[in-house]
Formats: sequence, structure tokens, C-alpha cells
Amino acid sequence: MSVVWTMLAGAGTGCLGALLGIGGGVFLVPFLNLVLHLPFRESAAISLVTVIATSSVTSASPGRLSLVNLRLGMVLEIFTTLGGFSGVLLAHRFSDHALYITFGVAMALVSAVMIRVRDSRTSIPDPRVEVGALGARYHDPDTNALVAYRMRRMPVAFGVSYLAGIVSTLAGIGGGVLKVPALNAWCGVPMRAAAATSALMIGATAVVGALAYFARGQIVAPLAAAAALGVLAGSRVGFMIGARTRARGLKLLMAGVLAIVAIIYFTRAFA
Amino acid sequence: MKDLDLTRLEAHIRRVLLVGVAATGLTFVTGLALWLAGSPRSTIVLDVGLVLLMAIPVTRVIASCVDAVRRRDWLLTWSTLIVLTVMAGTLVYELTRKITEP
Repeated sequence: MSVVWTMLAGAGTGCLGALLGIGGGVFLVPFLNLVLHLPFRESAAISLVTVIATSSVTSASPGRLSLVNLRLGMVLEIFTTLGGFSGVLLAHRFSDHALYITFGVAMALVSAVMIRVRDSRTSIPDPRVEVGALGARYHDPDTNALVAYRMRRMPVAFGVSYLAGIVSTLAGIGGGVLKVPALNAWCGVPMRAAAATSALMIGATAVVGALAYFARGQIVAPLAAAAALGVLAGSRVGFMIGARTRARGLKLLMAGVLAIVAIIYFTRAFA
Repeated sequence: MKDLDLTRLEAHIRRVLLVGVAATGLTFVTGLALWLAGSPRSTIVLDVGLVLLMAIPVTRVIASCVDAVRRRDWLLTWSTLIVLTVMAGTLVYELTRKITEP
């Protein structure tokens, strides 16, 4: 029965994640942990499996790869995977309460990000700008214009990537929801390019944590498989719906839900 | 990156991702069916599925590395090699921990 519920949860979170432009892990982990009463580490491990699945499918979408800045993504991935490995080391030492705090903080941040970016418009950088080693140019299908951007504040990008890697392993989320707003707001990367690049790279980020959980026998294989299959199906539905709706009201609602989830985990941590 | 190079790279990456996802999905469906039927083989099949899934991003990084070497993009080459080293290092760390700890 848990397999069925997990598959349905995976489908729901995959749909929501695709609709809202964030990973489904932020919804799946609380569902597995709070509703199905799976231990937090096992819930995070299953979520990382779904993050890999989502990343692989999302990044294979036609046209999306042209938005990906592979050079930038891979340079940042150095720090994200190092962060992920740091998370693996910390996971040994963190108590359940510390994990709850980490997850609560992550949920609060995601909630704030969802509220902040809901009405933001991507500014179109000057296509004549010199892009440098880590910038890029791409054709924006919405404006039918050539977009060029140059990376700024690399230390910020490195630091955020490292933190995102730690959080990814500990909380079972992709980390993109932390990286994408930072790259857009502070580092000069247009939102579409940041999101596409992140979607490709979160799979690599999640692998670090997933490998560790797998080696420790903390991935409940039937539930992970069910969740992954559910997410794959649900995300396709989410993309189809998302192409037709703006989902602005849904983003606010989900931001509220995540804020409540954050409060629940803080309460559990300090209870 | 030139347009032709990007298109070729896109095609490589897309093929890797799609083949991997299809193989993983098939393995998971098989494994779940065996698990629901109570077969002891389900564990191995599901674990194979998990390994296949985790191999997708790793293979993608490897493919990017090979392509970067071919195009003499040394920044991308070294970046991918470092990422692969961290991934391998994580696996080695966990396996070593498993062996040495009681």
C-alpha cells in the first residue's frame, strides 16, 4: 500500500514541481516523513532518487539544452558536489533534530524564493556584451531575441553552490531552488538560462548524496522506484499544464504550504 | 561554443539522457512487478534500476568531458574531471567506511 501512495505522491510532487519550476523534493520529503512516517534519512534518500529522475527528463526536453550553459554549470558543479560530499560527512554526525532544522531552514528559504520571484521578469541583457569564459549567448524563444550575459560575482556563485550541495544531501532536495535565484539576482544570469542549467546539473548534485545513501542501504528500493516512476509521469502532466497556465496563485499557495512545513519541522526539532 | 558544436553536443547529451531514463523506467517497472509478486529477485532488479538511474548523470558528465577534450575546451575538461573525482571519491569513502566500521 505504501508503494501505491508513494507513486501517487511522486506523481503529485512531480506535477507540482514541473508546474512551479522547482524540484518536487520539497514536497515529497515531508509527505514521506510526516504522512507515511518514513524516517527522515530514508525520505531524503528517496527524494534524491526522484531528483535524478526529474533532472534527466527535464534536461532532455527539446530546445531546453540550448539554454544550458554547460561550462558555467560544470564549474559551479565542482562546488556543489564538494558541498554534497560535505553533506555526506555531516549526515553521519547530524542528529535527527539537526536534520529537521536543516530541512526547516531549506523550506523557509524555498517559500521565500517562491514568493519573491513570482512576479519577476527577466531583464534581457545586451546581446553585444562580451560574455567571457563563463557567460553565454542563446536565442530566447519568448522574445525571439538573442540574449548574451556575462557572469558576475563568481565567489558568490561558488559559495551558494557549495551550500546548495550540502543542503541537497541533508534535506533530499536538488538545490536548484537555492542556486537559481542567486545566479539570477546576484550573478547576472538570466532566469531561463539559470533554471535550465540548474535542471541539468541537479542530477549530478543529487548523485553524490544518493550514492552515499545507497551504499549505506538507506534507499528503500521499492518506494524509490515507485516515487521515481510517479515523478516521471507527474512531471509530464505538470509541463503540459504549465504550458497553458501561469500558476501564479498556485505558487503563493505552495509557498504558504512550505512555510507551514518549515514550522512543523522547527517544532519537531525543538520539541 | 560554435552553433554546430553546440548542436552536436546537445544531441549527444539528449541521447544519453533518454536511453538512460528509458532503461531505468523499464527496470523499475520490472522490479516493482517482481516485488509485488513476492519474488526474491525483485531486490536485485530494483537495485540495478537504482544504479542505472545514478549512472545517468555520471554518464552525462563523462560524455561532456569527452566532448570537451575533443573540442579542446580545457576549462570544461578539468571541471568535469573534478566533478567525476568527487563522485568517485564519495563512493570510495562510503565503501571504505562500510569495510572498516563494525
